[in-house]
Amino acid sequence: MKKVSKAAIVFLAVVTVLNYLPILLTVVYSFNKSKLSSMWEGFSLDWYRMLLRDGDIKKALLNSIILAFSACVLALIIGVSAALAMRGKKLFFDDFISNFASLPIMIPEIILGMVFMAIFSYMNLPFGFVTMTIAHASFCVPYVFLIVRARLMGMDSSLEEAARDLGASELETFRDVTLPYILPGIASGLLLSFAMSFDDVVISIFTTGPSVNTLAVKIYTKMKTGITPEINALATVILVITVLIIFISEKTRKD
Amino acid sequence: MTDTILSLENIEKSFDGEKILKNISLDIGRGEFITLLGSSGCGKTTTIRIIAGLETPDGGKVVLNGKDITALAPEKRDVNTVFQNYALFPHMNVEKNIGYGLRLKKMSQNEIKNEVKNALSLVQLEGFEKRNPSQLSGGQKQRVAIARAVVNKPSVLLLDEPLGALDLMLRRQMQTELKKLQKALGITFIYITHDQEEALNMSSRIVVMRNGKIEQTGTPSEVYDTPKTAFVAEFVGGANLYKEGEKIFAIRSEHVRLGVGDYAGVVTENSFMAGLSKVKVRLRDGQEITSSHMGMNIDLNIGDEISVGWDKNDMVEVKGEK
Repeated sequence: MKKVSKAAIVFLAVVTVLNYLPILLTVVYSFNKSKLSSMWEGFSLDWYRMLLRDGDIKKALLNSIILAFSACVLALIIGVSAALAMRGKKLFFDDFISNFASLPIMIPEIILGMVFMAIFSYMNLPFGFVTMTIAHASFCVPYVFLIVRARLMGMDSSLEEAARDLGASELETFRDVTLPYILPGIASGLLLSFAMSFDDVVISIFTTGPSVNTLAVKIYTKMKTGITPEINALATVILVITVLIIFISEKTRKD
Repeated sequence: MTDTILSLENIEKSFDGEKILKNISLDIGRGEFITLLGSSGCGKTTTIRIIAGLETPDGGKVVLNGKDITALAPEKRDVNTVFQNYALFPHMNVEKNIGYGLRLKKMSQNEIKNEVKNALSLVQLEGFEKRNPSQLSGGQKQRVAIARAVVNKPSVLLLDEPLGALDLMLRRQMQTELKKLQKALGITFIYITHDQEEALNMSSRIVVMRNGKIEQTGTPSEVYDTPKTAFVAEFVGGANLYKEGEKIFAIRSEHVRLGVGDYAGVVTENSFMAGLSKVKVRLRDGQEITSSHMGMNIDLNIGDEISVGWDKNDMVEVKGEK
C-alpha cells in the first residue's frame, strides 16, 4: 500500500471535521428533545412532527418543488437545444460560447441576484413565481448544457448515420439513437439543476415577491430569530433530499 | 455488363475546396463483388458514402436500379452499409440492433424475430440475441454489423473496410466467410479496402483508385496481370517497374529468373517470408529488380554477382512515372 504522509492525514482530518461536524451536529440536534440546541435531553421526533404540522413550511416546500421543477424543465429545453445546436460544428467562437455559457456558474450569486432584480424591475415584471422561475432556469442552464454537450462530444456520428442507413428518418434517428445516448446526461443535468434550485437562497431573495416563499428562504428568515430544533429538522430534511439527488445524478452520469 | 444495378456518372466531390473525387464513373453489375482499392485519402470511402446518401456529390448522378437517387435521403435508398467501426447501437442488444431496420419497416414482432434468427445463423452467432454490444469481441461485433445490414435484403451492400480492425487470422477467415455469404445471398457487394491481397482474394472486380480518380477497373487477374499504369502495377502485387528507353514496363517478380538471363547485377537483399523468397538485384544500369519464388535461397549472399532474365511476353507496358 502507498504510504500516506502524516501531514496529509492531519489535513484530511481537519477538513473532514470542519466540513462535516457542523452538519452532523445539525442532524443530531434535530432529534433532540430539548428546546435549547446546546443541551442533549434525549431522542425525539417532536421537531419533525412539528414540521409536518407547520402549514407555512409545507407551503414553502411545495413552492420549492414546483419552482425547481419548472426551472429544471425550462433549463432542460434551453440547455439540450443549445448543446444539440452546437454539436459537431467547429466554430471559431466555439470555446467562447461554451465558456460564456458556463459563466453563470462562476459569477457570484449575489451579483446574479442583483442583475436579475434590476432587469425584472426594468421590464416591469411582477416579482413572484415567474421571475423566480426565469432566474432559477438561467443559473441551471449551464449545468444541463455542459453535461449534455460533454455526452454529445463523446458520441460517434456514425451511430446516427447507421440509423439513417437502416431506414430511420431524422426524427426517428433522434428518438431511437441520439436521445437514448444523451439521456444519462440529461437526467444528470436535470437532477443537478433541481438540487441547485432547491438549495438556492440568494437569487431567490432578490427575485421573489411578497407572496412566494421557498423552503430555503424560509429557513433563512427563520434563522433571524435564532436556531430552533425545528430548523435543524428542516435542514436535515433538505440535506437528505439534496444528497440523494446529487447521488442519483452522479450515478446516472457515470453509467 | 448486361444487368447494371448501380451506376455512378461523373461524380465530383470537394471538401473545403479540395477535390476528393474527380469525375468518377462506374457501372456495377447485379450480384458483383466489387472492391474499391486504394490507399487512405484516395476517395474510396467518400464514394460509398455518396452511394449510401451520407454525402451529397457536387456534381454527377447516382443511379440505382434505373432510378436517379442522387438527391434521395439515405433512409429511402435500397442500400445498407457495414461501417468501419461497426456503429452498433450501444443501448440495444444484438437482437434489437439487427431488427432495427425491420422495425422501422413495421414488420411484425414474430417475423422480425425469425429474420434476426436467420441473420444470426448466417453470421454464425446463433443464440447471441440478448447480448449487449459491449459484451462482444471485435469479430463478433463485425458479424452483428453485417447481419444488421443484410437482414434488410438491400439491392447493394456497402462495406467500409469491415475487416480493418481485426487481426490477420480472423481477417483471413472473415474474407472467406464474406465471399460465401455474398454468393449465398446474391446481394451486390461494394467493398472497400486498402489491402490488395484482400481485394485480389475476394472480388469479382477491382476498382483501383488514386487521388480521387479511378486508375483501373478489371477482374483481379486483369488488374494483376495487365496493369495499365505504373501505380497499379506497384500497388497491386508490388510488380517491378523496368525502364527501357522512354517506356516503362511492369514485370511480376515471379517472372524474373535468377541465375540465367541477359541482365547482370549484384544481390542487394535476400528475404524469406511466408514460404516465398525475394531476392533484390541491382542491375548494371542502377535499376533494381526483385525476383521471387517458392522456397528458400540458402546460397545467395548480399554482394554476390548474379544474372537475371525474363520473357519478353511477361513485360507489360504501363503508363505513368516509375
